[in-house]
Amino acid sequence: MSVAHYQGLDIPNHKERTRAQPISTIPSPPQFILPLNQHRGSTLIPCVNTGERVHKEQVIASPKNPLEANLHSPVSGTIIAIEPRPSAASISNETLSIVLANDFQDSSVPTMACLNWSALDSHQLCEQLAKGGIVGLGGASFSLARKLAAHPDHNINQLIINGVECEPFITCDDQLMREHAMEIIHGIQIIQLATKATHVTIAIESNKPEAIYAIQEALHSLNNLDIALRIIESTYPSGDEGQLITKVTGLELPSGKLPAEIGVIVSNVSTIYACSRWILHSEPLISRIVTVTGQCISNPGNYLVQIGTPIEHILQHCGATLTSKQKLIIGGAMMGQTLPHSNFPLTKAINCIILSDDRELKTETVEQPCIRCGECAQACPAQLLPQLLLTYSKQGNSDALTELGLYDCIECGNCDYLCPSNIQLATRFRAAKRKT
Amino acid sequence: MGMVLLTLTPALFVQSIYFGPGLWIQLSLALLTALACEASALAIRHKPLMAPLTDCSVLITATLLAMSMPPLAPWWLIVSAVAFAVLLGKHAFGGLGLNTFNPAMLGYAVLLVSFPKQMTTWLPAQHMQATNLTLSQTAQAIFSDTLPESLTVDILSGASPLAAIKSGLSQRQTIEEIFTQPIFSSLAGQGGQWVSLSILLGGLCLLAMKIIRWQISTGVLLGLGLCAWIMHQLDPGQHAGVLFHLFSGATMLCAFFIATDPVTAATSPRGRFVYGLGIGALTYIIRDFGSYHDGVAFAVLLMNLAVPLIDKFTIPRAYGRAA
Repeated sequence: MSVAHYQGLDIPNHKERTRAQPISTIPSPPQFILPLNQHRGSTLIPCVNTGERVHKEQVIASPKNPLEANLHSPVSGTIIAIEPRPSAASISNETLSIVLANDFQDSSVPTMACLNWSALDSHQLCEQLAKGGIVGLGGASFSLARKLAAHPDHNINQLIINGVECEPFITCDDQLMREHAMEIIHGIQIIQLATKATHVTIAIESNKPEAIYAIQEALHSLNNLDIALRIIESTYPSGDEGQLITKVTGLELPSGKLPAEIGVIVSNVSTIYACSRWILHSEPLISRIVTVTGQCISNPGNYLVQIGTPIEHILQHCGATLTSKQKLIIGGAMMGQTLPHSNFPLTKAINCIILSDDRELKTETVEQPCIRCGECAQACPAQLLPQLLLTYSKQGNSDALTELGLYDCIECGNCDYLCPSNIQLATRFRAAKRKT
Repeated sequence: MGMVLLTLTPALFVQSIYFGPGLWIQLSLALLTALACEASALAIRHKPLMAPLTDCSVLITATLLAMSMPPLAPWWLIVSAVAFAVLLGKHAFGGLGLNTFNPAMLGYAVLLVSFPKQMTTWLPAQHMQATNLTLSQTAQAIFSDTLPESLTVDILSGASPLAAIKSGLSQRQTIEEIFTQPIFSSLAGQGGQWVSLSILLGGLCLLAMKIIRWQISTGVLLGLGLCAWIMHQLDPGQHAGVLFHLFSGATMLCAFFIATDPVTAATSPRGRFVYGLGIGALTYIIRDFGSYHDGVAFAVLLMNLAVPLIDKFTIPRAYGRAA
């Protein structure tokens, strides 16, 4: 089977519970916890002290590299501690975090707005995006400015706006496109300027007709003929960066390379929306849309939640508390991770919270021996041999793992999903990548 | 894996209709021995009992061996074949998923080498016998090795079509002359062809349910069919045709139920096709040029040995890696 003809998996999408739920706001909690490792790359350095009063949208931590993203205070209040706290970015050990007490005043000082963004060159624009705290909101949470500025020598031919959202349960991008299509188009124009991309494509999965219609209408009303709309067949994981690049351009992303090196930039619709809010409305990234769903949530929906809000608070608002029999997952059922408790804050990377019991998820957790059936290899979008990777990861043979393409694994979870012996392959591969 | 057993049941009934109730006794002995061996091996190895005993894998090994045994073979033959398969073929290698050789074929091959006479004494199809054996007569034959008067040793020996071809050719007969013997039918052997067809039916069900994939089965049938076709074209007087080979002996059982054991097969889809082709070709070579009537067991074991080599040369091209 050639890579270009990989079909993807037809898996139950579980989106019905929150599909078409209008975006509503979760009220601010009394206390925020803001881990300093919000996005991949260097840890942020706090620029406030314990006891200091902060305004809403004030920068409270900034990176060494000006292309990494700032962290802003979601509300006004007092810094009560800067100390290690649990963070979903590294479950096993605690992360230095800013703890903020909300004074419920929402007092703010006007942030500098870029009144004339179209006069900026692409490097200045990238620095602006970093100042606004913009990171990729599709899950990887890579600093957007760094992504855009990573390869100034490469000509970007194709800017792909990822509105595929193939991961089961998640509907936040779908709802965002339905409600804010126009702002997404404005955001695309900003990124187009920053990348000087010659072609722009918005990719949306075929199971989101309302979002497709909304984007079409917005393009039509702006009389924008430069942006192409591409409808992607709904299979999993068609929204993966590499898979999407191949679907849209026919190119294959070479192993170990960044999309910019083959002239492509892929960015999520919610990231684009955040750009538009920052550049056009001077609102830095202090909140994001999160899908809260699962069998044990009484009010599932798509919620606008401030960064730093404790997950416990979100669950309470949605009418649920975590009990020992339930499973709390962030980031989707296929690629997400299970949290041991709800004492974690929302970070920029978390697009979905699932609270479910055994009936809905693949629950059999007792691993049986691998019978080498090969279903994992048939379903692997990276065309790897998961069963051999499993053998070598058990042996800790890092040379063989690298040789067999461990680092080409996109951690989509198809192998876990199909394994008749319930072996947690992708989970092991994730761990093996960190070790080697 | 329970589905594999279920799709084999039509073939079991067809085989017992044509070759007598001996199969049921062989099957009962095989299943009991398999469960006893599996349980004791797990107990000795301090492993949990429930999951391995209920996953049906050991029952499949037992069923495959029972179907391969001559219906009247003495009881100790099937018992030692199954014990060898489960204890040494499977558990000595580390249990389910870790064995290098197909356990059933290992058990079969060891017995075939050790007791060639008992392992090749096949019965003719029932309707060709003067008197059919009852269940109690069959049991007597299996457990005390005493045959009723009506059944002579003469009828027992050399009755399988593959064996008949071998002995016919050695007596300078042509294939055409050999095929006039009463044990032959339109496709292949009397009875045997119907067993093969019912196995094919079960195999197609497994394919439709995606419990097995097409690569190995197609490989086996193609490998064997291609060799048979070439040789038959070269000299039809000395080599039987494609259809005869496909519907004789254990071809169908091999293509859908033996070679498709994923544990001992190659890893990638392309590797599995190559693995199947090898089994098919080797089966033909052993049948046609070797001294054994059927070559399935040896072909499978030889290709099991070749798996690491096949795997090395059939790693699929990963996404993003140029060829």
